[in-house]
Amino acid sequence: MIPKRIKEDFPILRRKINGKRFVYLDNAATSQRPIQVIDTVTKFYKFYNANIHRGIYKVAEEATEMYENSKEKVKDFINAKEKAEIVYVRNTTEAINFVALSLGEKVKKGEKIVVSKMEHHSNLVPWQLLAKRKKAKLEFVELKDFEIDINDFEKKVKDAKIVALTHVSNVLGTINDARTLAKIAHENDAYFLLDGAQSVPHMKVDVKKLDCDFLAFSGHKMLAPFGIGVLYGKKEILEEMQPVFGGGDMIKECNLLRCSWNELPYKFEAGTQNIEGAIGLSAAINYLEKLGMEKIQKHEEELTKYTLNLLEDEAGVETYGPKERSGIIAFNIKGVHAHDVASFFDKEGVAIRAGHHCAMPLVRGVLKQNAVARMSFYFYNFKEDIDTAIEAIRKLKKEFGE
Amino acid sequence: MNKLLYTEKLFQRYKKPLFKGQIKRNKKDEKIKTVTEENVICGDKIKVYVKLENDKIKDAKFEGSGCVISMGSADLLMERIIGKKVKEIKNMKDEDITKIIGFTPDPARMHCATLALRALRKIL
Repeated sequence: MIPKRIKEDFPILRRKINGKRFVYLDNAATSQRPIQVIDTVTKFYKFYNANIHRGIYKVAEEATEMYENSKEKVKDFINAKEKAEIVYVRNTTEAINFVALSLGEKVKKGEKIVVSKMEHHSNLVPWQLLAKRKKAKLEFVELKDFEIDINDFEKKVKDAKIVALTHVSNVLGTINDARTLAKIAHENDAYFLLDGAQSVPHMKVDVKKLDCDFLAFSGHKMLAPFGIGVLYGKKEILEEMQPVFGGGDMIKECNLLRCSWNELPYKFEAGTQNIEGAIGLSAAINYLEKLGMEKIQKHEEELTKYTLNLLEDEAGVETYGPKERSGIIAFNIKGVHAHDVASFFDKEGVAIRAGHHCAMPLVRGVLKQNAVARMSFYFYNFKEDIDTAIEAIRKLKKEFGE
Repeated sequence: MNKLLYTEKLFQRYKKPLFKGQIKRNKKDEKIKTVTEENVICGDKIKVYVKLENDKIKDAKFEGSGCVISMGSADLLMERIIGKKVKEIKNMKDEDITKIIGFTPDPARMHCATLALRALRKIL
């Protein structure tokens, strides 16, 4: 059980919105930050601020150590083999773009890249760009009952060079069987990238177990500051890949005409890095591990079941997604535009999101909706938050005369 | 303080619009213009019909689907422009919409309020 007192770690949750208790249900967009993370970042600037890797003085050495420890932390958190496999980037989007740009160089004219119809634009557009650049083919795995159609996947994966799929859908909450998908991709000699933006913050993700070649995720969805994200890549694959950005710290030796690259992961980290972000991420992982990822997952599972049961009894409410899912619930209320739902919720102090959720092919193409409202949970949400949301739905239906 | 989602008159017009529909051409020489406009972000769509006579708006109607703000403000705007000169409509600014609907929506919802006005600008 996650104790309710952990809410006190999140100062923002003490706010009042329109005179009501602030209920934050937009966690798939970004998480809130606990005081432990905020304090760690502040402490860094107060006492340890220096650029890393070069300074021959105490404070710079301390900052470097904190940065390196953060990588060690991330490595253990996702069970990577070595620190060399952890590349810091801005966010999931940048991680995927980086793979499309660097690994993408191996893709030849007419070769195939496979994604699914439930991808966030961040795991779609980089591949569209690559396909255009290399005159490669981009194919889309169909969905069946809000899940990846495994038969269709097995057909489309034939002769694919790269397969890029989301672990958890940011609209449907579908949890894809990443291990099986990776296995099938590898049997077909394809590289397998997993978009972990919505999974890594909410469940134990073990890259060795899943056997993915790449894993991309963002710090800001898991209590860390904005602007720090992670690209995990298998060392032997990263070794073969060329840098996308050149600059300071990513080279070993440099003359006017050419350079030799620094060792992994630094060859991919050009210029001054987001040091406060890395250190904040390390504090975030500390926080999550103290609670325990299994406990977090269980807590969110229970909350999701509780919500779905209540919504099932609400006339006029339609939800989109499989029965078994992560803490993401997309819904619409009959006859009411999703933006009106979100505005009404806001009046009640409840923050949710409405729109196409950066997944237009899914929302418009598959679900055939112009927009959907979405509640998404984290471990600091409790039943009382759901009750407030359900109450808001009831009030809204009354006002709109449904 | 309680936040204003929309004014009562806007909400009423959303629920029971007075200017929703099409304008059909009865006589050959009638000048009827139509245009569609959409908000890609929220998927709101509108089709506006205006009947022109001597540089004046003789009649105006709209069809579409969307949120309270986009549909309610479209209805109120149609009412407001009938009988006005084309030039006057061309000079209308986004802020004029907030006067017509009686409140200023959140910045993220302003594009809903101006949907019908943007359609009108395209026609005239």
